[in-house]
Amino acid sequence: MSRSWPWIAVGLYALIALVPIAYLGYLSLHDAQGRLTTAFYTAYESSALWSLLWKSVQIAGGATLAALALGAPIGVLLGRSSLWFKPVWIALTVVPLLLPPYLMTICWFYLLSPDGWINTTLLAPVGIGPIEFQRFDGLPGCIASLALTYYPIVALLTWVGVRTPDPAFEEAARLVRAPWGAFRRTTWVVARPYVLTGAVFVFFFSLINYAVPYQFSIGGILPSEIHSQYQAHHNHGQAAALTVPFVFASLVLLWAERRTVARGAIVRGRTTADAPPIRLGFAQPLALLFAAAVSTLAAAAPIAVLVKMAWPFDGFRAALESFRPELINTVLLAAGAATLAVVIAIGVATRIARGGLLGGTLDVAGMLPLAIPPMSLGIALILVWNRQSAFGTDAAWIARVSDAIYTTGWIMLFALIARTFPFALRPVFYGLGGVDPALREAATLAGASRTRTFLRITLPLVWRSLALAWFLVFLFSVGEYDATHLVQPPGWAVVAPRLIGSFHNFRHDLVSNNALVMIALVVFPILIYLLVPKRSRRPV
Amino acid sequence: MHRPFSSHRSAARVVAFALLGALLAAPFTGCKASESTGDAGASAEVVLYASLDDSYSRPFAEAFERDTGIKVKFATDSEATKTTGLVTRLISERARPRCDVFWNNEIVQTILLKNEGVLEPFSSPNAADIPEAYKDPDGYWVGFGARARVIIYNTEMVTGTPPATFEALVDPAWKGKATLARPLNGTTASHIAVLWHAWGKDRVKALFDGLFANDVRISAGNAQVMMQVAQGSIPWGFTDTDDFHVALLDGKPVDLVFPDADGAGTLLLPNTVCKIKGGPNPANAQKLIDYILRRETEAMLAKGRSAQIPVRDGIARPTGLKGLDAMKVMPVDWNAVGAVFPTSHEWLKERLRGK
Repeated sequence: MSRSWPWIAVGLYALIALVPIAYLGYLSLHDAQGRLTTAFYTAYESSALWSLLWKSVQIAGGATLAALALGAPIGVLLGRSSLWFKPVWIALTVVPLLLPPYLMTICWFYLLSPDGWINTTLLAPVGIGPIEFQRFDGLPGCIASLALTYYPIVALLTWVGVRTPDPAFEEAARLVRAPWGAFRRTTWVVARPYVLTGAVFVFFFSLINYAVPYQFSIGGILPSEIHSQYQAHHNHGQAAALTVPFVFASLVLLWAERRTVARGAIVRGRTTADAPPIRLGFAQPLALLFAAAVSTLAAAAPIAVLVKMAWPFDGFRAALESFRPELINTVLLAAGAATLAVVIAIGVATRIARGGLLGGTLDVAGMLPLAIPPMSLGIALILVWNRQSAFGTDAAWIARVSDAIYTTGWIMLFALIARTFPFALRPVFYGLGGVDPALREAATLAGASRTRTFLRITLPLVWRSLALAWFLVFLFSVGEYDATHLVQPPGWAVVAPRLIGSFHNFRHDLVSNNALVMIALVVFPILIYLLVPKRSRRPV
Repeated sequence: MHRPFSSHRSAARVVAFALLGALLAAPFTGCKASESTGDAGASAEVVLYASLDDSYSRPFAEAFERDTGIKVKFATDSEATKTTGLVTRLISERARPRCDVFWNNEIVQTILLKNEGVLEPFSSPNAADIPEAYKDPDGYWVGFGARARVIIYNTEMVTGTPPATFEALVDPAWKGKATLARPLNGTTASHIAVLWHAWGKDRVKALFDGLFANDVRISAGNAQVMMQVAQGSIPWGFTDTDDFHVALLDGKPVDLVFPDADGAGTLLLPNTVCKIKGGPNPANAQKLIDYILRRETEAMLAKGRSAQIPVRDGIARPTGLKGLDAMKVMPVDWNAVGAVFPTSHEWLKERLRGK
């Protein structure tokens, strides 16, 4: 990696994400005429606002705990155990991230309705019901829905986290401890930051989610208040001011994450060889049952609903034809966003690792996009990039730059990177932190350039973290709707908004066929990759 | 020398990343939006923001392109954001408008756009036969193809006389048997704003006290109201005709009542079309508005699954909406409703907190 790349990466990140976020801060302090005001912060004097925040935190906290309870064991089972049929569970784990959470919730509603499958197929034959699952909705239903949608984030991060450390540490520990005890004392310590990062992601995505609580008819949360400011009052300043608690929460959580990581040392490694899987023994059936239950609830059941809607697939060709440009755009955009986000994250993470005031500031700034509700982020992107003038001048180049960004796919790319950058930054940061500096120093002493050292020494050691970062951004970008639909250039289209639009216009044939195609496009390559025989180590 | 990793594996990963990076270029070729300079009539395209599904907007755009040779670039919205997405975007783009024409599937947000100064007045010869009640007196919008706010009931659960008024929601005879969409979004929010204007705030406040005392279930949206009634989870509720019509097409045991036939009448919420002030292609915008306001558009909306009701006479009405011909339409001063909407919304938000 060249000496200048960290600086270029920091500049790109600032341009794409931090400038729009800073603009929100500006909006929260200025009225419609551009005069300085603190009026938007008077809402904080009301206890009602704090009750909104408390309810939002309850939802997010519940979803995070539930996602941890599901995701961390799944990640460990997939990453380090001798669990059977791993490729199937891994492939099913990614499914919930591919569709907008809103759509996943609708699928569960279909299953649990009085004339849904659970009642008609499972309960009715044994003389039970129909049970009105609507009675269990509200907060518990919302938390369950968010947890099932976002648990893959924890699972995937844990999966990579437990495969990251040098197996030599665990092998040494096994000389004095049983396999699982050795795992807990060595590998788990290294994996903990990954797990915690997953929990932080889930917390924020649940905290700022508007659509899922809305589906459960839950009002009185901070995202619905922000939505209300846009819908009824078109008050950008007030809406921006209401994002401040989210930013504050991100700072608190980042501090907590850093404290935890500091207590558990980042173990540096010199190899990426796989540690041998740990034998499950008599726990195999129990582990299988757990993996099957989670995968069924989170992925197989929604897929079954989609298959039922699409059956007998007679409209498949027409539906696919209707969505073809959207499918192509979505895959290309998601791949582009993932590649750019990872490349930028490598530079930003390198700069953070150097420490100092800038490193610390970037550490915080890298997490900020998590705290910004997507609608606010989309509006900030519009206000920043759709311009005739800037800084008091209206030079022609400003309009040209605006056109080049705002009227093309670049604005979609910016929106995706701005939303997903923490997904890329955290794994890359921990991955780079786990590389023994002695290896790089040795390469430098041997005369290797920085770029060559990065490509030949660092990259092979961190590729799992980079691949995870890429994959997380890609998956999330495929299903992203909330920010991108606001900035989507006319004439452009991606899958998620069309799926939701078609669903609301009762075109269930279009929704089901194309959602299944989207899932297949991502899941089949994963399955093929996982099913290709690889050299494996015997369980211990 | 021992190498922990073979060079070809490293190279393969670098190549893989490079290939993925190359994919970046693909989405951005030939995807520039309006290249118009703003010179009226000089460009051969028009930008339409439409809060209706692609399955309607795409064939419509193709027909317009075929008939006029003008390319339509459109961005769509959906009820998922309750039209807020495109409206908020239009307001955010005010400093440099990118859109020429906004086709909104409801009306209150259009009034709010007018109040925000985003729209400019227009006139269209094709609007001549649209009743005055569906046209802005100042010429900022024209309404067409409407949805009605109706009572949907499950015919297996309501075997006697079905409810027939909005205030049946607070009738103790129906305690715990009715549902209403959360009135902060969509057409239900507009409905309450209409009542706020027509009845006054005290009567609306009393109504909501009655709703909660009568255990009216608050559902997420009109589609959820329809689904719960159609599935037999609750006997009846308020929804829109498009939701009802879908349940009917799916063979669910449902029927409808156009409410308040003996009182103020049934509320009709029309689609609206408006012209964006300072849009990049003003001449083409006018052509597109004229095209949208043809009678054929209302006929297309009436034939679709959403069964929208033409506001003009002489256009075939959707079949399946029993009692439509006898429906009494509620008179509404939409500009006045737009003016009270923020107030009614704010009050509702507080009233529903914790519900």
